[in-house]
Amino acid sequence: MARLHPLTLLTAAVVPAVATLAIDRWPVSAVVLAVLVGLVAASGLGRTVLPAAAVVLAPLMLSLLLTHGFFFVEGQTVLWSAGPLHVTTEGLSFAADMGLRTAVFVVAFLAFSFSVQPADLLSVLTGLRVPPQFGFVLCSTLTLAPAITARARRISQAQQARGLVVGLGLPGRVRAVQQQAVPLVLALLHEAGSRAEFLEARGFGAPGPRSSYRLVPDSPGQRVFRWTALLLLVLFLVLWFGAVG
Amino acid sequence: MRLVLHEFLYPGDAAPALRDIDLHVLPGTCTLVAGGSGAGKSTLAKVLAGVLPGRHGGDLTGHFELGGERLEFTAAQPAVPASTGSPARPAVVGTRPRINPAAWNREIAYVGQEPSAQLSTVAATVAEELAFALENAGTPRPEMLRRVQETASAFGLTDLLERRPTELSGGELRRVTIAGAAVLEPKVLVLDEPTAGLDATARGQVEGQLQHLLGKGIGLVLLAPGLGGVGTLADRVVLLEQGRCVWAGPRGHAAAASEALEVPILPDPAAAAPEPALRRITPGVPKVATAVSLDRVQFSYGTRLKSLRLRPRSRQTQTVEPPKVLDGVSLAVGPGETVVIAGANGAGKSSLLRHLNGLARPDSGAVSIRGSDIGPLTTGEVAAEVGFLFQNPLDQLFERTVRREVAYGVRAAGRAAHSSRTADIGTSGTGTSGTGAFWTGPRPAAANDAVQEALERCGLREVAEAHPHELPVSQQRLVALATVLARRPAVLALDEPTVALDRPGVDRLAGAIRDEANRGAAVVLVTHDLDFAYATCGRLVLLSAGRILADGPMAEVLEEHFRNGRFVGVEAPEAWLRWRAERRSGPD
Repeated sequence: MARLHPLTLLTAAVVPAVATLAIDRWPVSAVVLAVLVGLVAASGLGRTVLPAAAVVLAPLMLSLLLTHGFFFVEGQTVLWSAGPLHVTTEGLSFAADMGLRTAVFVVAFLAFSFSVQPADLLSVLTGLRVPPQFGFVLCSTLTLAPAITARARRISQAQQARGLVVGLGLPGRVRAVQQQAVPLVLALLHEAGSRAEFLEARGFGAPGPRSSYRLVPDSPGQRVFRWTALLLLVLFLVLWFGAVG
Repeated sequence: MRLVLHEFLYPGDAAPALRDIDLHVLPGTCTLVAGGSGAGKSTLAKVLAGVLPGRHGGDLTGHFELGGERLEFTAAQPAVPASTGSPARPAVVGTRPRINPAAWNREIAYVGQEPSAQLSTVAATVAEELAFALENAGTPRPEMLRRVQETASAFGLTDLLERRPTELSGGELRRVTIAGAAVLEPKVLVLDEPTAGLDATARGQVEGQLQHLLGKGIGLVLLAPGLGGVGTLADRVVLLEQGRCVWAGPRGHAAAASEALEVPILPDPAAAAPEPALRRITPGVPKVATAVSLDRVQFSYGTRLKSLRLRPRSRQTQTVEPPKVLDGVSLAVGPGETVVIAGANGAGKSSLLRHLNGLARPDSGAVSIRGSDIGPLTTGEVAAEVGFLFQNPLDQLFERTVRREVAYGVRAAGRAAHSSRTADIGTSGTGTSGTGAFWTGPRPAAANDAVQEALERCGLREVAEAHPHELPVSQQRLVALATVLARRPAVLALDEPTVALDRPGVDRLAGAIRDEANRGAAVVLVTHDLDFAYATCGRLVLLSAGRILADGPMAEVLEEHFRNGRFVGVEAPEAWLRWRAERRSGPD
């Protein structure tokens, strides 16, 4: 995939997410989600974005189904009932509304975070005169997951080298994570502290304007896309809420 | 640049971390600040860098003289407000000039000990990493491009400019961080142990870099635990002990001064007594069995064949075999043997070591401990017999106190050792915790004694209740060593154990290696510090591109391969070179 401007990617994530949120109908959300998943898969990001989205969405979907699917008090059309449990059409529809809308949001912004280059984003934010600390925190968040994984692996290896035997199966995994949690947090805090010192020593966060070495390619086509998409979104929101209101 | 420091206190501390230091750095000269662990070198470096007191607080009294300006720091004293005469609401008086780091690092730039901690983490390429400080200073882009190109070409980094900083080797990373500071063309560059953990080639490249900077008229301040290595560039030496300058003078007199004043710094290997390595074979331990052995081990990262697309969007792929890290390595080490594995960066030394406790697994071949194949065992189970010291102490220290750290696993194994599971190798116990994970280690009665003894052998009794992260790096390394010793393993695998150790630390490490070998443990260490290995190990194994090129008694391997003083990126020990020279010029 060609390297797109971070604002183009952001627009591509914001427009479907906001539009779906506004429309708030599960069939529309389902169609948008299907299109998004298709686009993500076609762009080659499917292997990273979709499992991550599944990890975020699976517990959410399950809790929506449990709370609204079984206990939706406003539900009229009862499909199945046992004791306090009432599965109603309205409840399932509400759960589907909420779940699919969130799914569009999660997939769109995960696709954005996996496709944007943190360095590009910082460069663009610098150009927009966003305070460098804010830009740095935002970009560090995008690079945090691999750093945490690497650190957790090193701690786990050190613990095993000192005799911790990690058993197979879920109990073993849970026990291993429990052993790693405190050292991992302490190590990350320590690392953040020392990195802050070095960033400061290299003049980061100093008063005065910051410049950027990295050039982020943009094109008239991308600019047209961004403005058109945002204008259409605003126009749609005005018409939609005008009609609904 | 001149720093006259009367006192520096960390916030909340009663005793100063630094006092009575007068550091005068002239353009194009190099000053070496040498001292043991905890002497205050890194604190001094951070004061020079303007990081301390900064936002961290603390009290600095003294002044900087910089480019004709004098910057006065006076301590923040609680003052009694005249109106009330009560100290209840003290106001703070004193001057603490607020340092603008972007302006400061154009005068005094700083390169710390751990290069990966200094990466901006937001630069996608080395070129951007070099430009980071320029960006922070708001330098216009055309000038940034020019200065990045110039710096890269001066330091031989042009080929690396488009590489990702996270993919660089240790030596490359160090050169990039130095260049990243030099790109600002500061008047003074402060470097904290700039060659720690580097092989001979990388050390030479960093030294070349520093010589280039001196040639450009930049003043250098090096902070190091000894007088040798990169410290030989220094014109003047300042000896630091307990935060105080105890001696300052020309480098030629520094060794004698440090001996006279008993400053615990590492001796210059060139000045070390030349003793033959022949008598360093551990006596008294019969070589009847093999403690650890590798049999025709092949290893590469990513064992599966990689499929690469021939063209973008093409379905046609080609399988590429990953490069071999270890290529048919066979090695047997007996009880009581002390073996050093030497080779250039990337030769496969650490990978070989990681095979000893199962952290890395061979693609083919086998690893055995006391004759038992460790293939079916997990790393945690192998740990009952193999103690492993990692390169970076912070990677293996995670407990709240030093005592808990050393006891980690040892006591847990002790408590649980009565349970059903028993190790099938060696004499140690293995116990389940009943929750899917368990520990291996010494039996319960021995556990407490083992922890206490390890603390004492590493000189950690006084700091047993301290937090490991609060200790100086040298003591952190000793804590890591104590965690290995407490387990009383049959095999000790030590990865670069001397890095960041001060003189007492090196002495304790050498003592521990000797004692462990005398106890009957096999000691295998990987190091670039062949001078240390020469003084402690009996056998030398040379590794290059994943193959063993030479393996034998230290003196024989040196004699056979190091006639020119250097072989496969490894430098011969200075003491051996001197011994050889003396033998040649001797009566026979």
